[in-house]
Parts: sequence; C-alpha cells; structure tokens
Amino acid sequence: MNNAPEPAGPVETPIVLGSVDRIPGLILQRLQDTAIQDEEILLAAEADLDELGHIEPVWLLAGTKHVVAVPAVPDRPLRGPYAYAVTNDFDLHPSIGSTSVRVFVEKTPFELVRFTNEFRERFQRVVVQLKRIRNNEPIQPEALLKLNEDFCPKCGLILPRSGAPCRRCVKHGAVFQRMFAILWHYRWLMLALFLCMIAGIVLDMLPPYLTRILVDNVLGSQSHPEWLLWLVASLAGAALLRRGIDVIISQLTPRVGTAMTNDIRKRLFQKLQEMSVAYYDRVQVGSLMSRVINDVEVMHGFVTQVTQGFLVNLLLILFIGVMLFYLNARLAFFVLIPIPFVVIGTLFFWNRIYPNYYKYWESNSKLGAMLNGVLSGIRLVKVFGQEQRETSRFNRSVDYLREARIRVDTRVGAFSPVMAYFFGLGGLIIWFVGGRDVLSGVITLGTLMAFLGYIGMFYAPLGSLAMFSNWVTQFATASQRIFEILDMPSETLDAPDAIDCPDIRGDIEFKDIWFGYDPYNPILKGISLKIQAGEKIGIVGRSGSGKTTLINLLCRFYDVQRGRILIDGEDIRHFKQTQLLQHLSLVLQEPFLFRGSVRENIAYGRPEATFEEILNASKAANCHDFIMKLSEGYDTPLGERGAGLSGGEKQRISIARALLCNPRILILDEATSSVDTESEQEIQRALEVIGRGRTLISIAHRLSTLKTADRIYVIDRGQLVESGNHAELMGKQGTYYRLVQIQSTLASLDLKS
Amino acid sequence: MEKNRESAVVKKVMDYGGVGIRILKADRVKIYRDIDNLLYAEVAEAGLETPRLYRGVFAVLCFPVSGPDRYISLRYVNPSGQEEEIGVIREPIEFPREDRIQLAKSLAQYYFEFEIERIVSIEFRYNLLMFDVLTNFGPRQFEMRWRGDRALSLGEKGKVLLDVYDCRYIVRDVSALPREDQALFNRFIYW
Repeated sequence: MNNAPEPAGPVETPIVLGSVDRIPGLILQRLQDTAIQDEEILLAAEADLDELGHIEPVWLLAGTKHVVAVPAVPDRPLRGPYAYAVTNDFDLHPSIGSTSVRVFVEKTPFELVRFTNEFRERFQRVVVQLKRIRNNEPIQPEALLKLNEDFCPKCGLILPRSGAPCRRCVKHGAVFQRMFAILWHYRWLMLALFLCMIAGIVLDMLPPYLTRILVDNVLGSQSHPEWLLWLVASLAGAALLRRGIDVIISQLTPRVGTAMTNDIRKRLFQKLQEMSVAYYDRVQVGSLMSRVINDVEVMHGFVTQVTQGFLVNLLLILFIGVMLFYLNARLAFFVLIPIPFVVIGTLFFWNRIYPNYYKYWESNSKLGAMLNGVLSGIRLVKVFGQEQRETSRFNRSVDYLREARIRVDTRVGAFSPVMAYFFGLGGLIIWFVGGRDVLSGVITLGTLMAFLGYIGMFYAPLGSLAMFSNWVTQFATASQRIFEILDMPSETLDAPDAIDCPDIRGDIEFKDIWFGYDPYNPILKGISLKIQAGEKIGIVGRSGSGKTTLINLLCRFYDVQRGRILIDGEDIRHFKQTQLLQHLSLVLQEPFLFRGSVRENIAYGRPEATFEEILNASKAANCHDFIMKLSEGYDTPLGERGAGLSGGEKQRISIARALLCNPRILILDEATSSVDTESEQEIQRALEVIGRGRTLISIAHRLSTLKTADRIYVIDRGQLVESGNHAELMGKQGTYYRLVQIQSTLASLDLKS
Repeated sequence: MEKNRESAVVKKVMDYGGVGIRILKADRVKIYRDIDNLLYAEVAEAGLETPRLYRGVFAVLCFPVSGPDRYISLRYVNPSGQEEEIGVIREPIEFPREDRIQLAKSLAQYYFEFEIERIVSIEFRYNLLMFDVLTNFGPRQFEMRWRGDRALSLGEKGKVLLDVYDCRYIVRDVSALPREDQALFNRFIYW
C-alpha cells in the first residue's frame, strides 16, 4: 500500500517519489543511447502498471529537456523520450480503476505512464511539475514532497477527512478524559445518581439475605418466630424503597444525558458557524449533520448505559460476588462455572448474530426508498405502462426484506434458548451441589435459598458487561468525530490588523489573479479587470471557466493565491470580512428561502428593517404584487426552501432580500438561469431599477440579458479573452459572438418545436 | 397487430433525425496500432474520397456489465482537447482478428480491476473494512470505508468494492465464492 508518506528531508535533484529513495540502476541503464542519457534528471516517480496492465514498476523520469517512462521489465519498450519543446501539454487521464499521465504532442495525447489509483495523488503533483519544467519554470520540491493530507503522517491510515485526526493514533483515554471534563459540569447530579445506584444495589441484595434468615431462623428452626412480622415488613419496605430509587434514577439520568448532549450540540453548531466556505467544500454536509444529530445521540446512549447499565451491573457483580463468597466460598466457585459460556455467548451474539440486523435495517430502508420513488413518480410509471414491472421490483424488495427478517428472527430465536440454558445451568449446579450440602448439613436451607436468589442477579449483568466493549467502541468513535469538529481552528480570514470599511464607493479591480481550489491546479490564470463604481458588468463564459470562482474571491470566501483584488483601491484582504460583506449582496441561481414568513425571508439580512423598507425593497424587486395576492400577504408562511412559490417568485424575493441590505455592489450569479422567460423579464425589469446607483455584476447564462451592460468580460479556461459592450463584442466575432450564435440557434429551434 | 405496433414503436424510438449514435461497420473502419504506439482508426465517411484518420483512439464499453462483448465506443481527443466519440462498434466479432486484438488491448488499458477470487479475512476497525484477499493479481490487502456507496452492485450477482484510493475490487458473482468466504463477505457487505 502507498500509505507511507513521501520521503522528506533536504531537497536534492533528482527528487525521487517511489518505493526506494533513489532511481534503480536498471532503470538508469535503460536510458543509455537515448536522447535523455546525458541530462540531469530533475524528478523520478514510480508507477505500478505496465502497458499491458500488469502490476510492474514503471518509472517516469523528467530531465531538463526530455521526459520518459521506463518499465523495470527489460523487454518492455520505453515511452519516449519526449522533448518538452515538442509537447503541448501534460494531463492526468482517469479511466476505470486506473489513471494515466498523458503527454500531448501535436495536440495528440500519448500515454506516458499508467498506475492504479493508489498513485493518483502522487502523479497529480508530478503533472503540475512537468508543466512547469515545460514552461522553463523551476520545479517546486515542496509541492512534490508535500505529505498527502488524506492519510495519517504517523501510521499511514486513511483519515476520515483530509487533515482530520487519525482514528488509530488518537488516544482513546484522552477522549474519555475530555468527556469526563464535559460531564464535570454535572458532577452533583452525577454524584446523586451514583449514590442512588449504590442504595438501589444494596436494596436489591437485601431480599435474598432476609429470605435466608426467614428460612433458617423463623420457618426452619423456629428459634425466632417473633421475627416473622419484622422480616416480612423489611422485605416490603426494601421493595418500596427500591421502586422509589428507581423513580429518582429515572428522573436524574435523562437530565444528565440531555444536558450533556444539549451542551455539545450547541458547541458544535457554534463551531460550524465559525468555519469558512472552503471548509464546507471539503466536508460533506450529510456527514456534519450526522455528527450533530446521530453521534451526539450515541454519546447520550452511552451515558445512559454507563449510569444505568454498566455501573449498576459492575457494582452488582462485585457486591453479589462478595456476598456469595461470604455465604459459602465453596459453593460460590460452582456459580462461576457457566461464566465463560455466558461471555462467549454474548460475544458470539455481537459478532455473528447482531450484524444480521444491519441487513434487515438496510433492506427496510431500501424498501421505503423504492416505495417513495415509485409513488412519487406514479404518473411516469403509468405513462410508460410500467405498473407490472414496478410491482415485480417491489415484490423482489419485499422478498429480500422477508429473507433478512427471517434470518434475524431465526438466529436470535435459536440463540436465546441456548443462552437461557446456560443461565439455567448455574441454578441446576447450585441445586445439586448445594442440595447435597444441605442434606449433609454443611449449609443451611436458608443459605441455599439465598444463593439461588443471588445467582439470578449475577449472570444477567455478566452478559451486558461482555457487550460493554461494543458500547465503548461506539462511544469512542462518536466522541472522536465530535471532537474533530470542536478541535478545528476557527477559520477567520481577517488579518490581525484588518481595518474597518464603514462605507465604499464600489470601484473594483482584479489584478493578475491566480487561484485554484487545488493550489497546484489553477482555475483562474492571471485575470485582470477593472469595474468602476455604478457600472453594470456582465461576466460570461462556458461552464467551469471560472466565473463563479471570481465572485467567490470577491466575497472572500477564498483568498487569492497570487495577485490582488482591490475595492476603492484597497486590497480586500485588509478589510474585516464581515464589514466587507455588508456592502456586497449576492443573488444565486438557486434562491434559498428559509422556513418562515415572506417578511422574515426578505428581512433575513436586516432583521431590524421597517415594514416600509421591506415594502420598498419588494416593490423594487418586482415581487410586491404577487406577495399581495398571497392569502396572508407578507406574513404568509413559506415551506422549506420556499415551497409554494414558483422559481421566479422565489428569485424575486431573494433579490428583494439582497436589495434590503442596500449594497454598493450587487452580484447576480446566474440569477435568472432557472426561471421561465416571463419571470426573467420581470426580474430584468426589477434589476434595471435596482442597478441604479450601485455596481452590478451579473454572471449570466442567457446572454440576451446582458445587452444593456456597460461592459461584458468573457472568460475562457480561467483567462480573460474578450471585453467590451454587446455591440463591440458582436463586431469582434470572437468567443462572445459564437456563444450568442449558439444561443440564437437554440432559441430558434425552441420556437420551431 | 402486436408486431406492427412493436415495429412502429421501434421506428419511433430509433428516429432521431440523424443525431443518434453512429454505428461503425467493419467494412468502413480499420483499426491499427502504429510504431508510435498510438491506436489509429481509419473511417470511411460519407462525402470524403479517402477515409478519415483518427489518432490516439481508445475504446470504452457502453454496457460493461450487461453487455461487455458488444457496443464498444471508439473515442479520441479532438484538436480542441475535447474527448469525442467517433462511433460505436455494435458487434466486434464482425471485425478482423487484428482489429479485435487492438480493441481488446485498448479496453484492457481502460479498465483495470482486481478480481477477488478468495476472501482470506475482513476486519472492521476505525470505521474501515480491512480486506485480505486473493485476486487475479495475487494476494492483496486493501482498506475500504464501510459505507454503502463504496460497494456498488455489479449486475444482479456481483459487487464492486472501492478502496480508499478508488481502486476497484470486483466480485463477479458473490454466490460463486466458497461458502465461508460468502458468509464473511455478506456479514459486512450487505447493501
């Protein structure tokens, strides 16, 4: 496996990335009589597939003028050497299960070296450096030797997420220590709980002991008949007290558990609010939700287990064990005989029988998903006449569920009697050995009765203690996942000396901007453009050309890697981000509305806005009239994500929301892409009004919406290729012209159809 | 009557006004590998006197699971750097042996999978499944995140396991594994 970190240390050429720290002699020998033989090798990287798809080492060697791939197997041909001078580019080409590095010569790709995906990250870095060598730029050793942040630098285990703590190397003791630190806030409640548990156990142990006295001293020898009433009264009192303690425990335990989970959830949410947009690019939202909801619940479950299960059971076993040995040590040893069977049986259950539940739960959820899919799309099913087929699919799912259920029930059903037998075995042993002792007068009948009473309380907790390791593992995992988030440093972009920006004019300048989400693979390549305050600017380009990235940088969701963005002549990195964002408003393609009233949604950015301000913003955004048609006007509640409104209506509300903040710079990112033509016209009319007196940047898919823009910038593959107003760009007959032509053709096709 | 209806449906489905797939027939295509190790396709195209030559061609299966022996898409990278389809070979068997060898070689390069033959052990640790298996490439150990989306269905009977690097480990037919391997496999891969 390639988990081990790449070699580090003093950098010398060649930089070798492979299973050995120098280029094998055999590989160098094969360079003889080739164009690269006298060149200095700058970097060497080992791959693991040969041209026939066999697992064999192949070395990619990059010299100062040529690049070549050399298989370790002598009879396999070299790929290259290719002179950089004749190459157009290098890229990483993914196929199914493997990836290759390709070199482009006369715009034709040649496969240079191929490898399993295990080496993909390594060659991703190599490709960036090959491009640099080709462009006569110095290679970046630090980029090549950078540790793969997806793996633990210590043990090589894949991390749950790039840069997250390693689950193998994390100290579980430390996790518990931290959990107890959180629980320390509730120490008095915990202490009360603990004392109640001790009292409960003592009360549990009383009845068998009193029974022994009753049998031996009252019913058997009849030496103290006067004790009968007191003993029965004591049994009744113990039972009453026990139930009372149960009630107190049931009141205290949820308080401790919920207080803790409540506290952790609030901390988690607070932390998540502090994380940057880049953080949310790296992690899956579903995973975060799972941590806030499910993992915290696991911790709650664990606290309940510890307080009501583990601790009680542990103390019960200890107390009863001591009592059994106190009553009769010899007989107590016989009680221990079934213990190994109980422990083995419990482990067997968790390892072999319990996993069957996974399959059952999974098939249950699949059935639900399938049913949901079919019923939601029932019109489609009927239109295509596929009722029979869907019925068959449903039947298969039901059969699968049935099979899973049978598997669970039969296995659990078979296991339970076997375990019950072993539990009962202990009683039978005690009946036999103890009975003989009673008959021979070694122990009294009361002692035997007490033994039988105690062993029932002794075996059951053993089972749950054997399961405790499972609980601990689950708890430790869940805790670790939660601490991963809590331990993340808050990602504030503000420099320590960041300045206020109470007001801005709205002049914007992008100066030689370079940026890539992967720093070694830039998306924006040296973009420079100027926007004057109050101008209406359009930005167009193909999908993936870097338009939205440009906006992300302006909003400082990310910082540029090279170059500067200036607002009113000041680098935006010098501003406090929260203050900067007060002057910018962003309207996205997918309007995001929250559950709440129309008014609350419009005033989301300015909750203190007056009714009149809200009405004015809505009027300007052309949404006032349709809002007034809603049954409760501005107080109409909206469903999740604005359910109940059309796409255009939602978009206009989101524009009103942006407008209410009275931004100096308004950015529309494909704001009209997902609405119909009529809605688009409504929105356009709104924007004409809104745009007055502020800088308006519009990324538009429909180029017809940019005809009135003061200037349009055309971006292609991360570079600015054209600029000018609509008429000028049409006159140039370049990229913009072609895009307009394509859209016109598509529009005419639409009309014809 | 039913047959007529069916053919009408077929005709309706197939008529895309000339924008459907282009089927490449054996008599109009020649596939070969040149000394530069690139795969070439010469395609006789309507309106051209000489066949059009495509360089750097590669093959991709349209139906890798349900029809791995038919419908092979021939593709290349056009001068703008975009991947483009030349056409689809419906029945490779109709092509000359040499062409088929080149197609097979290209497919072997495009698809790289470890085929699991035996399962030695599976351990669940750190939320990962640690596999020790025997494959067509010999013994392998790999780690996989224990999630449903890392074990994909391969037809009705098989599974594709994606390890932490996205390497593919396939079991073509789980029920064909030895009984104890099946039990071990199904204990963890139940999706």
